[in-house]
Amino acid sequence: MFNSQLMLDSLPLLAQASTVTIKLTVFAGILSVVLGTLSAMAQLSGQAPLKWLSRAYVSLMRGTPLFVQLLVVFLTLPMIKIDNAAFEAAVIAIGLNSGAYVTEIVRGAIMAVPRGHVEAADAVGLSKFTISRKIVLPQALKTCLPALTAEMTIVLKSTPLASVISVTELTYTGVLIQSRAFTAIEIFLPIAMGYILIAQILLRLSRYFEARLSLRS
Amino acid sequence: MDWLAPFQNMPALLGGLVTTIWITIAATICSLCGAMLIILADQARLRWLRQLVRVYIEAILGIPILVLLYIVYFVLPDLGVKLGEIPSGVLTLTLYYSPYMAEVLRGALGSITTGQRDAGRMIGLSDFDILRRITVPQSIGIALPGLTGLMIGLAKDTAILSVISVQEFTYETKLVVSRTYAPFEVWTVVAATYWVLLTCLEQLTRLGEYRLNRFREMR
Amino acid sequence: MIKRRDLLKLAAASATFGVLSSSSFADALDQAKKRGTLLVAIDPTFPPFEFTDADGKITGYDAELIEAVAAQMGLKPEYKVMAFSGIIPGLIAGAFDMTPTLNVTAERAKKIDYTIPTAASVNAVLAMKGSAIKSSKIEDLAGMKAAVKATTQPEQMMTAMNTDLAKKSLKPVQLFGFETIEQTIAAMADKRVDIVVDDKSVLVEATVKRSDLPLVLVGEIGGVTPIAWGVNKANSKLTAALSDGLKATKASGKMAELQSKYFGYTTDLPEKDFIPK
Repeated sequence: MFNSQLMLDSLPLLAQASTVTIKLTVFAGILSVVLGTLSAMAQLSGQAPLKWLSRAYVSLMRGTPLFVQLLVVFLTLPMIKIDNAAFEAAVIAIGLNSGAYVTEIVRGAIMAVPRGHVEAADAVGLSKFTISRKIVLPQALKTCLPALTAEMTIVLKSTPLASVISVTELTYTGVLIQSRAFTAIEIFLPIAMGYILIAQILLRLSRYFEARLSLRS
Repeated sequence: MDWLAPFQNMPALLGGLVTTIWITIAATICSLCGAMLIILADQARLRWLRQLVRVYIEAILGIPILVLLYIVYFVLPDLGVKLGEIPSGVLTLTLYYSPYMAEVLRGALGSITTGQRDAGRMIGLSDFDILRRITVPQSIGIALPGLTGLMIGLAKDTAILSVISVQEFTYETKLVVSRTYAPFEVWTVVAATYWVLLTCLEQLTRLGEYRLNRFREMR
Repeated sequence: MIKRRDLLKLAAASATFGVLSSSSFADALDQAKKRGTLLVAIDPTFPPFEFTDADGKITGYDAELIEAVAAQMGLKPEYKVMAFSGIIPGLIAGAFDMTPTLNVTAERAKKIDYTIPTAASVNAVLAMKGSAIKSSKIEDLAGMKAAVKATTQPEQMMTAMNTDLAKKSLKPVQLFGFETIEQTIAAMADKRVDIVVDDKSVLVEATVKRSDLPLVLVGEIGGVTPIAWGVNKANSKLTAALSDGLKATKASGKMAELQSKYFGYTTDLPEKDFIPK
């Protein structure tokens, strides 16, 4: 028997919990894109130690489960005297993990920028740094926007793991409600809808940016 | 720091690892079948079937796998479908990964140019033979990197089954940690184990990829 | 000749070492006072000890005790909610100040410190009415499927009892570990398991709350163990302060009042020598 009253009563709590999920996704996503871009540039820089560092980072992040990475970050922070930083630990772990995948995405996109543009800019006398910043990166990021969006959706879907290190997000709030309400369907269905909704918003935002960027060039 | 703890408890941990490995294999096989079903359903003539599959894929792409697991294990019994712990886990992994694998397979199958298929038809090969001798062998090589990545993701995702009491690697690790009170040491060793195994898996498939693609024509 | 580069490296190393070691002897009590909050790791899926109410607020026997003791210390409790399996590891790593509702065992006492006991616990066996279980003695449970909370003392107790069963050539109890008590009961209601094993007060509470299910308490299993709050071994000042706070709640009658409210009876609890050997 479906208890719709329970579902309605739980909605405020679930809505509040989804703000935690959204904050996690946004911060981890930003960290991930920044790290991934730096790492991709490191691999393409031609400098052996940078390349090695980036490859080791990618291998480590992809070869171990995010769950374990979260725990290791969470258990390490108190050792270096950083207290009460569970949310930050979650952002760092998820961001680091996702950054490894973004590395591959951005690297492919950078390599796809036509060499002609780079050579032309070089001929005109722009520095390597300016070329990266104003010509290569903007084009690369525009190209890989769909893939980046897919990766951000994956970041969203990995936020439930943060509950393992005491960040109470949407899914764990559902478990808590289940534990006092003794029922699952009225809680997990809205939660599933919630994630789908947030994912859809991400998708729309991405399409909007894609359109705006295409207009400009 | 008690670095002996993880090694003293190796038998228990390895037991869990074995469970993880065969759940990964079972779920990968099921997901591949699921992926093929999705591709077939897309060509189906019944419009409602195509719509249904599309809704299913859209939904899965937005739901975290843990939420899906809770639904399969705790909600389905209320709707009359009660599955055991491991079947629930394998079903969840399959439902989650089939759409992704379908995408990879679709891309691989589609990349075999119609030119080759036409050539096959011209020399008198039946449609089935074309599939068997031309499309599929080459597709495997193309699909392998994508499928490997997904399989590695699946292997890592088996960890969530620990919340519904499946005694796989992560569950056993939690028990060992609660016995030895050496969380950092045990989790570090477990992370290293995952890394070694998954990196080996990736290297093996890269070898397989090379051997399968050796004679593929380069465009 | 000492190069400037080497001097800089030496300076950096000593500065780091200084920073790390200077704060390593600061007790968590001092840090809590600076912060104004007490970091409490808690798994609020364990009524009547700790649970969430309809507004999501954490309440229960231990929760109210924590509020009383923290208030006396001039602190506010800051709850870190997580599944029990992560709590003791986090405590040992120093991620929290304390956690309530820990069974006192000799093994744990080697790795963490306990305050004075806040309750006494005995485990019990819960089953569905009409099941064929004769008693809660381990021999009568041989070969059954039991749901427990993952990594808790009841699970460890059952694992130890399974080795006893093996010695008597009886089939072991198959253990299924879940994250919350509700999930263990749901598993039993779905006929995935035959029994649930956990603290008696918790199971009694469950029979009351889930009057929609035909639950029956079969009997007790294992001995009585005290329940206390756990603190990292490095923070003896905090442990002492918490114990003092608890003693004050005993003296003022607050503890007895909470015990009646949540358990329906009061228990006399020892303050010394309560750790088993």
